Amino acid sequence: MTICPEHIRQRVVGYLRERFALDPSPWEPWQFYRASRGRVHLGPILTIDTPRPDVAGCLIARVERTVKPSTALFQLFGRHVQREIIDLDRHETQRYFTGESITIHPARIADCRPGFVMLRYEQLPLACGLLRERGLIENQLPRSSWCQIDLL
Amino acid sequence: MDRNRTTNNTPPVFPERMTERYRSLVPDPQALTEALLQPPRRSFRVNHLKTDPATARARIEAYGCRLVPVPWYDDAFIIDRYPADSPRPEPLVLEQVLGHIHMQELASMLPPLAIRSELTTAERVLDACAAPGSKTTLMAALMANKGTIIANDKQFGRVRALKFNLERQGVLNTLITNHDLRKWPPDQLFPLILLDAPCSSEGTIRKNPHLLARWKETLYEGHSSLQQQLLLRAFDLLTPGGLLLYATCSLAPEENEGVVDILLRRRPQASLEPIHVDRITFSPGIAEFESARYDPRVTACARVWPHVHDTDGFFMARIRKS
Repeated sequence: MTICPEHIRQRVVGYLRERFALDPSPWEPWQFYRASRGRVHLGPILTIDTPRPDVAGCLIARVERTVKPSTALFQLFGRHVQREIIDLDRHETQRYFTGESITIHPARIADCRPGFVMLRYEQLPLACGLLRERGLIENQLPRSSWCQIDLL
Repeated sequence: MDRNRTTNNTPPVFPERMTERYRSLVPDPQALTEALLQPPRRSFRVNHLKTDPATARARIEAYGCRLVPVPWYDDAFIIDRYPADSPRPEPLVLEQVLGHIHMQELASMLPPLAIRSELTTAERVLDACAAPGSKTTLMAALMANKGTIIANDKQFGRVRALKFNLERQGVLNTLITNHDLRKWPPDQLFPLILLDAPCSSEGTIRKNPHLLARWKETLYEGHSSLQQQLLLRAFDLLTPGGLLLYATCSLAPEENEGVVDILLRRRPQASLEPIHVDRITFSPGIAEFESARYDPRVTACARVWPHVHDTDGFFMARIRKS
């Protein structure tokens, strides 16, 4: 884990601003870190060198060919997201958390462009999804987060 | 079966020597063993980094759960009853998945609360044995995600659970290290350290009744030796004037007062402070146990007894470096 190079930080911040109208001010107090496999974390200012920290704060994005926002990012800063939001109903929320991809009626996504979207349930930011053509939302939850939610 | 308590199938049998030890520890050993045989209550705390207690409570009660507030911590609740039509005995709640609440045994919330006033102004904290992160995440919430917590754990396998819990609860002010505390660089000092030391976990028998079958008195020796090393090292990593909270979920004096006693003997700069958490009264530390005589100052430590507080057993010592 190293301090994130400025051009990667700018790429993440620029993408989130352009796609989700997400203002960068909420994370100004934080440090961006780069970890393996393109992962970008948001964490505190580095205060120790040895032993070297393995992980800082939360994973907020993955930067490879494109920028992929993380579920943790939306769950933490989702209330600041202004567009590319899809509201799920109870049943869709349950299915999404079991790891399924879901298809919803195109009328409900008229305002959204294909690409990464924030999923929401009763105003609660839930997760990141990948919106494809014809209302398909590809599941982006890591397998470790799949679960059967009973009460919602 | 009371629905507010989890069930287990292990037939609970207390080894005779264990009950004999309890007779030296508490005036009412039968009440203690009976309390240890009670399955634990289900409890959670609200994560202030993501929501507030009123909102979380309203949502969870709307599912049909009956919640009982915890008198000594406004953010904590006991789930007294799940809805009758729950598909599972312990249904998974959306707020758990989103990290708005964290299921946590009540006693394990106490160590961060015992250093609450220090945490609210702390800039740098070492959580020396952090995994799986229940106390780390509570500390981060009490710090309002400000300052920095160095969350360390020696066991690589447990660091994964730590990462998962920190991420789920939106903790940003943490740096995770995977290092043996005993080999921590001596120039990295901290004004505030939490050492929730590895222990026999005897205080968690309610949740882990299998511990009874594995119980041997010799277990305490091995744990105590490691705890002494960790406590001495953690104390050496304090800045002058710094504060160290030592905690275990063991009832055994060998892992608690006995370890603190060694520290007091070997580090004259160490002193104990009384432990105060609003609206809860702790039992004092034990200065004599069977043939052992500890430094009388250990009575300033705090004990949480399952039969007194209806929680797991816990031990805490607030140690100041002069």
